[in-house]
Amino acid sequence: MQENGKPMAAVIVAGVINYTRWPRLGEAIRICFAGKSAHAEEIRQLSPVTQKMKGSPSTFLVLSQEGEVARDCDLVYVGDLPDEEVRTLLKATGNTAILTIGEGKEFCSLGGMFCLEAEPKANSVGFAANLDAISRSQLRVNPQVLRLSSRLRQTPP
Amino acid sequence: MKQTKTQKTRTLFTALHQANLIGAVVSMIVAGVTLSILTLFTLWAQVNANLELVARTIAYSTEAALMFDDGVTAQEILAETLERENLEMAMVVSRSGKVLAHAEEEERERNGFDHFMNRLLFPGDTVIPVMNGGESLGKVAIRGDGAILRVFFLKMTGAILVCLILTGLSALWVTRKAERQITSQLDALAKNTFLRHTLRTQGETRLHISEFQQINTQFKALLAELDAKNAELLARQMRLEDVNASLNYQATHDDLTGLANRAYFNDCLERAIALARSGGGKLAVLYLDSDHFKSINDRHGHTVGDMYLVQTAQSIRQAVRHSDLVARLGGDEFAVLLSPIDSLANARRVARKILDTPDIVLTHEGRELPFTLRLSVGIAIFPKTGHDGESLILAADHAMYRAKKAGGHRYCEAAGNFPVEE
Repeated sequence: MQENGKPMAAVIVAGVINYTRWPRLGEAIRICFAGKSAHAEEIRQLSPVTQKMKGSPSTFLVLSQEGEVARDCDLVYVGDLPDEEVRTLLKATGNTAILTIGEGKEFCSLGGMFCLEAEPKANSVGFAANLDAISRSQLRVNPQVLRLSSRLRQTPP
Repeated sequence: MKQTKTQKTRTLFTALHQANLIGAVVSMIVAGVTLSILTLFTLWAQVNANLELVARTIAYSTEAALMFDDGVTAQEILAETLERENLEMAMVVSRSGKVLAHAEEEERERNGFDHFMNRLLFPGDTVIPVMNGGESLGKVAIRGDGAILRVFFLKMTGAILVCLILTGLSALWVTRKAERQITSQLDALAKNTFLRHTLRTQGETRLHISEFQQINTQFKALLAELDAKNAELLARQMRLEDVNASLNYQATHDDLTGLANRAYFNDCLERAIALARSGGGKLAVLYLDSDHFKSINDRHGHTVGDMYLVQTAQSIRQAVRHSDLVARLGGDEFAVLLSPIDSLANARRVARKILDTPDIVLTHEGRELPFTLRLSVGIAIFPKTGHDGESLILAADHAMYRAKKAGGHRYCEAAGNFPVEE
């Protein structure tokens, strides 16, 4: 499902970025990719959008080693990745100012903050939020976003 | 008189009623409508401001939903707000013009009046843009439900009507009260002044309206003044009448004897002739002259002469009826008008009676002077021996001369139609 030719995953990522406050932010929002994702290309187009929303463009980095996360990223987008690697990744980002968005419900149950979920019925993409993970981080997320995600959370995992 | 008075009063008070009623109703309508319009306008502005506030709230709550293109959440928010804020319609439109969510009040039983009022009160939707970080995400459009305003409008109209009725009733009541008071005061005023003046009724009613009290006082003063003036005029007229009468008497009577004078005698004679002529009656004129007045004057002086004349006059007076006229024509000449008489015999009898007067005694300077009343008498009869006053007197005069020539102290009758005799 697209709006204005903009893919839905990118829309959600942009929205989450918009409603998230980082304690410190450099010249650009550094977005890192972990694992393979069909949406990676859409998300790479977001730089002008974040420039408009936050006053900062986005830079993009493909993670190859887990150790770089804490130092080099403001947001980690997790694509298709084995659970074990996801756990290791989330351990590194826990209690930091790094926003984690992943694909699939399992990402939230593993400890990720936001998980995208395809809704085949509505032919669209929704998302859920892990309030525990968000509150443990140093980020501040606008409750409006959490409200949007609530109805997704009601659906049983 | 009474009828016209009450009718006039009724007309006056009807006018008073109408003036009061119209005044009250007009001021009530003007005040009520002005106040209502002001209130309605203020309320309308408030409702509109409130609508804008509601729209802003919706814009704020649906901002994230717009951003995430989450129609379901936006719909939830709209439905909730619609219920809570009594909206007729609410919708969220994205920047591209797509309707993300739309909620409309269920068609309750809303009649034509409600619809009309709603369109009148809210001709357009309230539209608020949804902004995020200086960028427009879309807009929120809502339409208010004018239930508050409608209810207010109905209540206001009802209140104005009730107030109108109350105002009208109280205006009537006040007028009636004023009318009763004024009427009673007018009655009291009339009683205090005119009636009191004309009927001399007793007791005075106190007047509570100061103007009436003033009129009352002034009327009474005026009436008193009129009374005084009236009395004065009456007195003056009576004095004038007295003077007139005495002047008249002096003009028509002889000073010495108190008998009528020549002029008055002539007047009376003419009137008597006119009366006798129209009624076909008769009258007689006696001309009398003293036979020895000159010698009395010469022998005893003027004082005794005057006394003699007065006595003569009295004697003649006593010899005739009360209605007959005795006059002194001048000097020792007298005349008697016997009117009316039945016949010449009556005139003769009167002449005889005068001539048969007993001797008179005059007292002068302590002396008693006895005199025999000697008179020569001429008799003329209308219409037999004269056709007017002048000819009658002349005829009687001539007859008297004949009596004097014949030796005096007797009477002669004027002869036929030719009284003139040498």
